[in-house]
Amino acid sequence: MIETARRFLAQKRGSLGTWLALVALALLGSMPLRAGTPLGFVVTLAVFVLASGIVSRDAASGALQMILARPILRAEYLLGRFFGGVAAILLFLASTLVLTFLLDRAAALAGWTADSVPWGPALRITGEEVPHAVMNLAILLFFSTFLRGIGDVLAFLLFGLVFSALPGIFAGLLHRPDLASLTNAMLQNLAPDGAWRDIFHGGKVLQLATGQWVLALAGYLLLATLLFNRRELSYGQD
Amino acid sequence: MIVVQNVSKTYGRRGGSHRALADVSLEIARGETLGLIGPNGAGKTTLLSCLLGFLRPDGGSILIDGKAPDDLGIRARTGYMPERLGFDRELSGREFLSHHWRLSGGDRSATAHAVAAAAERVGLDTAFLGRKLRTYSRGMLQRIGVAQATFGEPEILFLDEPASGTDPLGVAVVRDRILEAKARGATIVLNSHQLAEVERVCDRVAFLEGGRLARAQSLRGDGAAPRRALLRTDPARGAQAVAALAEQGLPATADGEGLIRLEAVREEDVARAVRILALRDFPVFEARASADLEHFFKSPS
Repeated sequence: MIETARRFLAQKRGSLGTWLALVALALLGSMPLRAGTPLGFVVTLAVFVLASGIVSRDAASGALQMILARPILRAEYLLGRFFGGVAAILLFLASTLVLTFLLDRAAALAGWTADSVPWGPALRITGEEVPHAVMNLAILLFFSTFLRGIGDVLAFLLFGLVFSALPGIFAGLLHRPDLASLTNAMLQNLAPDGAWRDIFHGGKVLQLATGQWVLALAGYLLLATLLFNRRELSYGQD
Repeated sequence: MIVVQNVSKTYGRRGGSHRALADVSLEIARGETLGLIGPNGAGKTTLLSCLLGFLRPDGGSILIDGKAPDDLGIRARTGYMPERLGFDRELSGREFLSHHWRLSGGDRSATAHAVAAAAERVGLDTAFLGRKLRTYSRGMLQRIGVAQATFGEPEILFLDEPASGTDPLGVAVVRDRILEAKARGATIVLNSHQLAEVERVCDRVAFLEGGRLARAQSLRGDGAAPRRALLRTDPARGAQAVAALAEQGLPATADGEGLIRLEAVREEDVARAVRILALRDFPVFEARASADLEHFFKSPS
């Protein structure tokens, strides 16, 4: 598993496109951090950059077949990719913080701003983003086990769009508050926010929202493993 | 021993299905080198994928030393080289080989040494190992693919078109590695369209057509496939040489260039023909014999 995680990081390290996209996103992310506001879409985009085609690209290139011809379990490969992705996200967030610090120092030295970044909130915000990013990564991994190319990202967006819009549609357009609360509950269980903001402000870790988050994460990883174990790996021409 | 018994595989999709393998049965003895040949779409890669446990047969069974192909114990003894070479483009050659060395269960502390030795074995300059695989030529990718497949001297080797698209030197490197594995007793399944190479290294060929095993033919020893031989002698004495061979019961034809053809003969007949000509003072400048695998494609059964 560690070997597969290492390979994931090496793949990302070796891709110029990934570097450029992540540097741009880190620059973008430094702005909300300076302002003490959540990173929001920046982290979601970083997860897309790091993890789109997390399994499907290996399958399409034939690399997956070479790896799975080795004495490793498919679950090991899959979890290795996941933990490699988690490590990459942590590195990205840490780099965004460092970049924010460097830009802050540079701006102060140049005399452009007298305000310093509020480091306490910046650290907290960065920490809050980790569980969200990890959940998004697990969802992408799940989709990538059976969809081709960037189908995982497209499915993720569709999934997010449908489940975010449904409660509003049921409540506002169709006047069905029962269905609205049902879809809301589904969304909370399928992509739970957790209570990370509360937890990072000193709230209890062991609470219902945390349980939902853990359950959903474990569910995606388990489903991904089950699907991946059943998947046939076909390629090439007879 | 690899036992393939009544294996069928259908690729099904809504609106149509394609039967890639139909009731294929085959046994591959320990230490045997089997060539899978057949036209495009015959089912060779599907069979190889089933042997590797990547595809599950719809019917029948595959056992390798009594175990399923995806058994980790079997995989620890298996080397595999895929046909497609688009793998790990972002990794350097060294990273790629190191990764596969460790995945194959190789000693971590010996990684650098094993990688350098593997590169040397396939004639890959170690200076190239630091470069990304995306900058490698097809020939270099073939070599690095063979290097990873032969890590740890696997007992079973599955090779899918290992030398397609490579230069003659690359073909020779692949052939040498196969012969090396063969010499140490590895069981090898080689899927290839390069019939001359198949003939050089394989003990037996299995000819697939339309998903069926149309024919299996030994290339060595008793029951070997009939050969087509070509001897080159003095152009002025071609007709006399043919007559000398006919006298000894070896029908042959000659052209004006001194090329004598013998069709459908056994290995020992080729040696006998050379001896007959030499004893009668005909110069033999060249002697070639091949199993005429092309013939399989023309009349498979």
